[in-house]
Amino acid sequence: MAALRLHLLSLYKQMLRESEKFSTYNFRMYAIRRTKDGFREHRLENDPKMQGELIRKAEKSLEIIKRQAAIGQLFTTNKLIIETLGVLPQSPQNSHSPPTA
Amino acid sequence: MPDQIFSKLLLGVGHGKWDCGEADDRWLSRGCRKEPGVQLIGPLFCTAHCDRRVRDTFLKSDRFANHRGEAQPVRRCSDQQTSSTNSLFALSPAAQTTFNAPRRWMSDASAKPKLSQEAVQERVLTVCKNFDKLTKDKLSLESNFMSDLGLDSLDHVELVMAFEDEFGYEISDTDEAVVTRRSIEVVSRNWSLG
Repeated sequence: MAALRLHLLSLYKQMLRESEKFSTYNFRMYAIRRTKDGFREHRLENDPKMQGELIRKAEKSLEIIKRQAAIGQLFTTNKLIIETLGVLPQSPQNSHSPPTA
Repeated sequence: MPDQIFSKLLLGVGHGKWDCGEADDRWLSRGCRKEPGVQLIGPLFCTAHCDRRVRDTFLKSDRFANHRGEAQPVRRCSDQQTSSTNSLFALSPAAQTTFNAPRRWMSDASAKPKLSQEAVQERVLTVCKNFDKLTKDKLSLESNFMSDLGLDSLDHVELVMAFEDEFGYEISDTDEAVVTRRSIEVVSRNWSLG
């Protein structure tokens, strides 16, 4: 049982690590969020058949993440504005000016 | 939300699309002031109609100091193009930051082989403090992750990943101090030796 646990935890860590490698903001955030939610949701699953199925599903997802992250690295596009560093200037003469991020 | 605006959001105007829940929702709820049907696609504005002074100030700001010649005008957010040409500000690839670099809570550590015990402990504590699920008051050197601080094993994995990112060391899953989940002190002792 401990081996299964270790396997699961290492799977979790691998999925998070691979998800971080997406270059697109949206995919990256989604993948990280989905793995966290997915693992947490089925945390208390006791039925071994269901467990096996979920583990298989997770391993498949890990493969998908690895492939898609690699493809994403090949065809990068521009970063979203929220990903770039820096702060918007405060322009006092504009009451409608957007506050700094 | 009117259907028109919602469908524009769904179309996700190229890379201006926001992943709801991650981005600042204030900007999603504001429309273009002069043309109410046109939705803002970010913490900037539809340059077709909105305040030119704000846009010009922004373009003159330090943030774009290095890329002034490269920035292209923002497309109207009502354009229904979904290709990659519809990005908010098209910066050249050289101007993009490397977001995929591992995030560090403190400033980037130039790989020093030996750190003092106090420095290591401080960094460990800083990482823990910045971790979402740990409350600051219960945190001490002797506290155990699982029993005292109420983390479950998934949280523990995430915390260990945060340590890895901070110190630049890969922690194996079978590392004893981590697996048995002893106190923070053991983790910090590991780093000073490693």
